[in-house]
Amino acid sequence: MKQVGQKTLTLDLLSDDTDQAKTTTQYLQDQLERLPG
Amino acid sequence: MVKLGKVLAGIGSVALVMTLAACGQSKQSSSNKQLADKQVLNLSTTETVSTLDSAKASESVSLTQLYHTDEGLYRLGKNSKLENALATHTTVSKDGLTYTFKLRDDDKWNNGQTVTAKDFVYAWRRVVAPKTAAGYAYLFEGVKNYDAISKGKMSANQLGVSAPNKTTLVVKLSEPVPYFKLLLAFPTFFPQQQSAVEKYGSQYGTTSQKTAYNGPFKSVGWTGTNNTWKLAKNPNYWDKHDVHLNTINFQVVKSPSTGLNLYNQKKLDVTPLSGTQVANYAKTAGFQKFVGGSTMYLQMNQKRVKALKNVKVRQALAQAINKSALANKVLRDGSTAPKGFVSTNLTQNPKTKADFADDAYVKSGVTYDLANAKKLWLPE
Repeated sequence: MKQVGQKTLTLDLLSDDTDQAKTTTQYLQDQLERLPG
Repeated sequence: MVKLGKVLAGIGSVALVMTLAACGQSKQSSSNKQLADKQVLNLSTTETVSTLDSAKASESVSLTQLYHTDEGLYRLGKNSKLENALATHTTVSKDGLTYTFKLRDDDKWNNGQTVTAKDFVYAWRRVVAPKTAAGYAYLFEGVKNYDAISKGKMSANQLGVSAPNKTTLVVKLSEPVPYFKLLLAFPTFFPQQQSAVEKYGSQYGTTSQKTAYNGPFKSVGWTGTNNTWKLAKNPNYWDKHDVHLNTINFQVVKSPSTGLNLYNQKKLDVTPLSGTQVANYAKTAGFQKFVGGSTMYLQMNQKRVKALKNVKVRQALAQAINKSALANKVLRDGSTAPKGFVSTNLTQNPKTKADFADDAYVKSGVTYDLANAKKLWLPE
């Protein structure tokens, strides 16, 4: 992140409007938020 | 270029299937078993159809409809084995650059007009013309002059495809494409009826009525936005005697719990199960596992988020995701963690029969390593 000159990063995850996609996306969000910043 | 992150591969699926033994579509079951009186199947999809224009279709719901409503030179049989469909005989030149297809002369469009080699020439030129903006046009890479046409430097009429007569189609390639025949079973390579496409113009393929069909079924009742429609047997299809189903009803069902209710009410003959449902229904009659061959991935928008251009940032994101847990604990539907970008079960090494995904496995590319992800993210 130093290389790109940022301390934090905000990402928007876009997925299908289905139950499975929502569950998957929530899981991915949870996993990625464990990265600092 | 947008780089793709690998998240999950080898999507399996599990479903409850009504006992359909008496309702089979295969020749085998018709010879051994009595067919049901009502040849009707009730199926669900997760989304509505986006287009029935085979040149433009690029998502699975639409492509699934097109496999039923249209037909190309070949079809894929069991284990993706190529079978002749509209082609009856194929010759390939020694250098692998010229394909000559003999076509059957007894397939008709739903208005009764015969399907000819010209319908292929018309369709293919339309797919590659940049103004059509066909999502899968790039599959024509390797067909003579495709590159120049795609860049707008040459007319689509210069594409390496011609119809010397009604039942002969000749294709010229710019380089040998070993998998070319497999592509021909894909809807982007299906024929199109010029008179219908021109009649409806930009509206072609936007509703059941504004589409021409040459396959086993025709679409009925899709208005472009509605959530129920059907496929009805096409009486003009050349192989109609091997089609036993009269009707396939489709409805959009977004949630597995709604699907399960409809299945239990006998309103659906098949319903996909989510992970939480699998545990309760795994021992039910009708429970079946299907092995798929597709990969789910996160697509990183490097134009919108500059940081995603950095390879370490992308590696960190990929390594922070526990793919095995996603497959086994979250989805629980038969999915497996990916071995690479290409899914398991998709293709095999022709010599050893080993799965391509195993042959191409690079562990570091798909591994889960949160500690390393954090290091990549914020190096000491």
